[in-house]
Amino acid sequence: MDFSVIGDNLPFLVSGVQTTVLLALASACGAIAVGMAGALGRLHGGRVVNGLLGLYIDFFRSTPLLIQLIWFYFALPVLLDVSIAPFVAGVLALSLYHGAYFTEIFRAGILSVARGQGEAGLALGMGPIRAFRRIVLPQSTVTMLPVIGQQLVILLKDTSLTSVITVTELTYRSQNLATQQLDPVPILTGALIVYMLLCLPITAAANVAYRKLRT
Amino acid sequence: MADARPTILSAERVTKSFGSVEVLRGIDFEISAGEVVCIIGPSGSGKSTFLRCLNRLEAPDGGRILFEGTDITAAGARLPEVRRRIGMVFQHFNLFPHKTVLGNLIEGPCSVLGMSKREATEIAVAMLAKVGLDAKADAKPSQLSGGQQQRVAIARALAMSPDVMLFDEATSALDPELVGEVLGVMKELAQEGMTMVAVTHEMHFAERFADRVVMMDEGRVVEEGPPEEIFRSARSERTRQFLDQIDWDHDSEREARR
Amino acid sequence: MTHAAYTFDWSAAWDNAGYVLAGVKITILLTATTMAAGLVLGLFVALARMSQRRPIAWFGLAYVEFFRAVPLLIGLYWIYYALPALVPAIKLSPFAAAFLLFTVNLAALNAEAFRSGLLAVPRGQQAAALSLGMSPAQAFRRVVLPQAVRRVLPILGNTWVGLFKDTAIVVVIALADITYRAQDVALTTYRPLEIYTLVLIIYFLLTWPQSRGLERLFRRFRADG
Repeated sequence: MDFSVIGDNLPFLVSGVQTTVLLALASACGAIAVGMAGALGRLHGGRVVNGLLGLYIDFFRSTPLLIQLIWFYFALPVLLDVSIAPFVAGVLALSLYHGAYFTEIFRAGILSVARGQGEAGLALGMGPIRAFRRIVLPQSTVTMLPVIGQQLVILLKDTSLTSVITVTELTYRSQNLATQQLDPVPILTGALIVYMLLCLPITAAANVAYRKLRT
Repeated sequence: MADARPTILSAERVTKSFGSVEVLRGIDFEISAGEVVCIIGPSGSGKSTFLRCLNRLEAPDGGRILFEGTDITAAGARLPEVRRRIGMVFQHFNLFPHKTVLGNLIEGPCSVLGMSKREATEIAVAMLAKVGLDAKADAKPSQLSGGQQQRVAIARALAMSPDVMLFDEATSALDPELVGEVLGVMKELAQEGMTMVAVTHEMHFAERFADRVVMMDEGRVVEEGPPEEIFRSARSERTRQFLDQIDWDHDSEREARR
Repeated sequence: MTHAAYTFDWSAAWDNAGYVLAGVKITILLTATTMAAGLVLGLFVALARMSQRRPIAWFGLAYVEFFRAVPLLIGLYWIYYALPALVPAIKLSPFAAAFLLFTVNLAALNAEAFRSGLLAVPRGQQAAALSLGMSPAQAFRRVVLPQAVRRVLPILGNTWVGLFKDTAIVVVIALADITYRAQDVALTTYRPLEIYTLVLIIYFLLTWPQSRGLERLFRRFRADG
């Protein structure tokens, strides 16, 4: 097993890692935004909105992410008569897919904060939005930290699926090289290790933050 | 009164620590057949830990505990056999949620005493009637009130025909209006001559039904004696302090002030 | 600027639906065999994790953490391309490679599920069982384990549904499941929109009822404790 092949192709692989990280960050922002909006919509949007969001969640959670990625890259451009870059399709699909999961996570987290907390805020004269922002949200965020961490790790792993729609992230690059090289072992093993190095800090950070912040 | 009754349970210089915290600092204890002993004291005094040592749910670090002559703190002690003859009632009931009330009661006799289901059911039904819950035999624990669950827990322990019953703050987790029904069962057991050790905050119960009251604080026995003595004229300052703190209001004191 | 309106041609979808759907056989076969093997292996990993012996427990923990951090797709590529290069004696068919990957991955998930199910049983339950005179083994078998199983089953149900969806990635190693066949058809009919929409609907109709059904089935377990 000759690991020098990694060194020979380092820039190529490193740019793959960069794309992975970029993709993960962009999708995480998207997913969290969707999740927050979805959770608030389900909790305070009225029955119709709640129902529609429920359908969205059921649909995106009952179909494979891979198919969604393929659909956003191959099918959506046909529908809208525009071309969609692989990276964009990737971010779209990942944001909506994980947004569905985050919606439920945030909804559960908000509900888990005792009603009395929000009521105490209102009793002090805060408007409902301020009471939510300053009392309920901080508490629910802390309780949810481990679960959010888990979901973000899954999101990071899911970026590897975008290789199927030709996003030039780590899996795409590694797979490319591995099928060209005589020895796929060092490259694929190296890719495995890189993913681990990317994922473990997220879990660790979430757990540490949780332990420090919970009262 | 000449005490010819045999000693059922005794503890000699029992010590226990959890990590660096010394919870029991040398407890001596004795109870004879038919006696009712109530252990009182502030939280953190080690009362529950000591009670759980009596049926070896906790293992003492030092000292000995003898049950009907057998040293249950010794290395080879056969704990399941010992525990068959000691019944325990827990603060949080600990009923088996996946079984019905009847199922809870026959579990011990069937799987531990090897009785047939029919025999065990007969005993179970009798015990349920004794605690006044024969109508609830097929209910699930989650369908019962706290007081009912605790009475079922008592019946479950009684179904094993134990020689001594241990009560670990049996009423502390109950709403006030449900406490009475459980104390009622405990009172009947006491009057029938069951040997009982009860860790409790119910001072009126202790005053009326205990043969002896033991006051514990910070891992030690501070004082023990008959209830009249402890509740009316405790010798130790700490005991009086404690009774004051919990707003103990003995009847005669009230009368004296009138 | 005007765009020609897209003319939907759903006939491409209807005509090929049968062909695409036939791929579900592979999907179900893969999911079922993996679940069975993954349960057994997961049990061993869970036992290792909870072992009293430090090296074994550490191995269990490392196993679980490893598979939590490794994407399925890279794992699949590794098993399909790197493993045969490493151990030339091994020749894996696409199905075998997929089975192997999903099984070892599932074992990690299941081990965590078993562990959390066991830890979720209140400690007072064991105390009560012991206080009745049961041996620790009896207490485990008759009181703790039944309750742990009730807590684990809903999680396993979710895992099954997740696995069912995850099998879609086998398209990359040319295993002829639903996704692979859909890709095939989309390429030949030049109708990606209709075909892939169809595939989404197929997966939804297969997955969602399973999800709901399992949820309902296990809801009564929560009530019973």
